[in-house]
Formats: sequence, C-alpha cells, structure tokens
Amino acid sequence: MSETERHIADDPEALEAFLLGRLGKSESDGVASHLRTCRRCFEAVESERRLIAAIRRSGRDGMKAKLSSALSTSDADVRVTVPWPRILAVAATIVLLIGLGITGRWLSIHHAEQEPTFQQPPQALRNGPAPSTQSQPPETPAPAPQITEGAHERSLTPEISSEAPSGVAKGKVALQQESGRQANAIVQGGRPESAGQQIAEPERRGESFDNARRKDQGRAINGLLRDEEAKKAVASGVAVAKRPVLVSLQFGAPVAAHANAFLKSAPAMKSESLDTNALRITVLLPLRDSIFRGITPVVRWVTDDSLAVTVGDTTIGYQIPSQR
Amino acid sequence: MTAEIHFLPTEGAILAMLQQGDERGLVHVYKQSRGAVHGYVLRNNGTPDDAEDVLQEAVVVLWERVRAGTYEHTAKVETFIVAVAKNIWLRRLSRKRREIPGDPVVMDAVQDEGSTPLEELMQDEETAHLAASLDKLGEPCRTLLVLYYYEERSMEEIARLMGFANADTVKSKKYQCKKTLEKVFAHS
Repeated sequence: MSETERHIADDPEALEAFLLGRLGKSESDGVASHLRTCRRCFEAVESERRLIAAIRRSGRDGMKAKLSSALSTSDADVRVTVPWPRILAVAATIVLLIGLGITGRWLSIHHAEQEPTFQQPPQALRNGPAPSTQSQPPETPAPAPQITEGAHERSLTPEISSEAPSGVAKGKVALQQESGRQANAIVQGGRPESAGQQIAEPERRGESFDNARRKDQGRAINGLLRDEEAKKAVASGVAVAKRPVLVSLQFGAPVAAHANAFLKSAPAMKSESLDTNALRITVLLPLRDSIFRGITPVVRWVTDDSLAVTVGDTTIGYQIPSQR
Repeated sequence: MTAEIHFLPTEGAILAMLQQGDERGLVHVYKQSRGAVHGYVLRNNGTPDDAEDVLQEAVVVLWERVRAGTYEHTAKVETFIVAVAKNIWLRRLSRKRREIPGDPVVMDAVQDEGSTPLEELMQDEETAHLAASLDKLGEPCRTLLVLYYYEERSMEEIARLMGFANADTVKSKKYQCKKTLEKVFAHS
C-alpha cells in the first residue's frame, strides 16, 4: 500500500501527528488527499480533532484562570506593599513632634516674655563691695593694655547725639537705678525689655579668659533690645570704652530660633580692643545655623554702664551690672 | 508576604518569561494592553465583562504562540494583543449578528489572524461543552493531556514536570487517559 493509500485510522500516532502538524508537507498532503476518498479515516480524524480541540479549549480556559489568579495576586501584592498602619503611625508621630515643638517654642517665648525684667545678680555681685559711682575704678584694677583705666569721658559724636533720643539711655539708667543694682535692664520706651538677655561682667582683668567666661555663665541677665530699638540705643551715644569687658551673649526673642541652643552651650569668646570706642568680641557661636557663624560681634558703649553688641544684622544691648 | 521592588521588564524579557512558562509575563502583557482592548470592545457594543474576557483570551493566544514558537516579534506585543482581541471580538459579534462599525484596521487584523482547522473547531459550542467534560477525567489525566496537546510539551518534559519515571511511562499513561476521555465524550 502506498503512503497515500495508507489508512490513517489504523495508525493513531500518524493521525495525531497529522492533526498536530508534525508531518512533513508531502506526507501531510498525502493524508489530506486520502481523507477525501476514505470515509472511515475521515471520521477517525474528525473524532480525534474534536478530542484535541476540547483538550486545548480546556487548556486555554485553565490558562485564563491562571491569568486571573496571577492578576488578583498582583493586585494583592500592591495592597500589601502599602503599609497604611505604619504610614499612619509615622504621620501621627510627626504631627505629635511638630505639635510638641510648636508648644515648647511657644512656651519658651511666652516664658521669656513673662520673666521678670529684673533678675537677681550673681551672688558674687550681691556680696561684693559697696556700690560706688560709675566712675569708680574696679576693686582689683589691672590696666588693660590699650584702654586707660578710669577714663570715663564720653565722646559722643555731635551728629549722633543730636539725633538720638537721649532720654532712652537716660530712661534706662533711671529705671535701673530704681530697681537697685541687683540687675540692670535696658528699657525700651520706658518699660523693661526682656525679650532677649545678655550678661556682662566688666573688669575681669587679672583673670584668664576661660575663668572669666566660666564665671560669666549664669550671671545676671539683662534685657535685650529688639533690633530697631537697639540701633536707636547705639545711635543715642557711643561711649568711649573705659575698660575691657568680657561678655557672654545670650540671644533672646529676636533670634529665638537659636536661643535655646545658644543658652545650652556657653560660647567660647575672646575680646580685644577694637579702638577707643569699641571692643571686638569674638564669639564662637555653637549654632548650626550659618547666620551667625564666623561673625565677629562688635561691642560699643552706649552709656557708662551699658553696651550694645552687634552681631550680623542683630544688635542687642545689655547693662553692665554696677558694682558695690 | 514581603514587599519587592519590581522593574518593568522589556518586551524581550516578557517573551522570555512566557517562553519559560512564567505566567507573570502574562500579567505584564495584560496590564499593558488593557486600556486599548477595553476601549475597542466598549466602543463596539461590548460590555466591560466582554472586554475582560476578550483581553484574557488574546493574552492566552500570545502565550500559546510563544510557547509553540510561532510568534514573530515584529511589532510591539501590545499591537499583537490588540489585533488578536479585535479579531476575537469581531468573531463573537458576527456570531451574535451584531452590527459592527466598519474598521479597516480591524478587518486587516482579522485577515492577518489566520486560523487553523483546530482553531476554527475550537469556536464551536460543542467543543466548549466537551472541554467542560474534561474535568470529569480527574488528575493526573487532565493535566497530562493539557500539557501534551495544549502546551505541546514533550514526553520528557511532562515526565519531569509530573514526576513520571520516564517518557515511555508518560506515553503509556497518555494513551490510557485518552481512551478514558473518549468514553467520557461518548457519554456526554
């Protein structure tokens, strides 16, 4: 029997190979030709074809089901990768911290505003010698190299003194005198200004800088003028520097954002005579903020016992505690 | 379940995944083509369910082609999926005697989408009915027959996948399963 005459119905493997397209072209053409004349083979092929078609249909349905499953798993993955509880917890923590920060800052500012204008001077000052006039030399005089000790003449420039409301400076002094020598506050518009604070300790001559600075820490804190008022105070009169002064700076409300950090860390400082009118006090500000970093504060006398310190664009005034 | 960072695979990577039988490739293709297929079906009297079914079927056709080695990657995979989906939907519509807006592109796609005698037969409802009865076979016959006739895997592969001793064992088992299926068909 020739290839084309072979009954494919009797050869299941060939029948299957024919339907699956695994026969060569000539062989496949021969089978196709035979099917036109052999009804039994045609029915066998048709039966096998239906069977394979059904299996493939089932396979395709199964594949679609797999795809659906994979899609739902994919969607589930997306849901799982969004940890909402954790996100909400973190968000709540952030909100809480921000709230605490705002509250803390408000309290610190509020507290600073509510602080008494006049504070107790350091024990050393309270127990110090009897008060003397402002022109009186310090107890342990140690002449500064460039500043004449006991020189108390003021060298106010005419222009400044004519423009400046001299009453401001006088008012400060008057208020300070009313409150005694325990503390001194620079007064803004006739009322104590306590938004920011500084302490000043004059005449530390004979002591090392570090010792003086350490002693300065925690000393009497005086008022701080806000920028504009402080500038007026500076303009009201520039006093001749009488003596070298070591100054510890503490920033208050005008630089409130930095105040706490500054207060917690005493700045390293050194002072030098700038000219007869001013001292330059170099403060190493322990601030991360770059506003004051590397800036050299310039200190000028406002009155015989008050100074103004300019750090960058901020000028703050302080009162030198009178000594008994 | 751990979170993972996924990078969108390239089409070559997707096809490689399909070639290896990794169904995750199908998900990528599905998502890639979903908008276009849904848009077409919905614009042509279809429902979202119709669109979903057509899209799934088109993706499966791609999988079959890739597995069979008959897929030619000459255009974007999405283009292929959309063309197949259009073809499927047109045929369904034609069966339902619905009116279809003229779309030359679709007609081209239909003409390009050649069908084998087996594929034509698969459209028949009778085939669907018989396929449903395949479930009566139970395992491992159903899986074995699907692997062989649908996924067209070799006897060696099936032996490895299903844990048979060797190809001859699979061949023998396949013969038995087929005879059983013929009986099921005869009674259905």
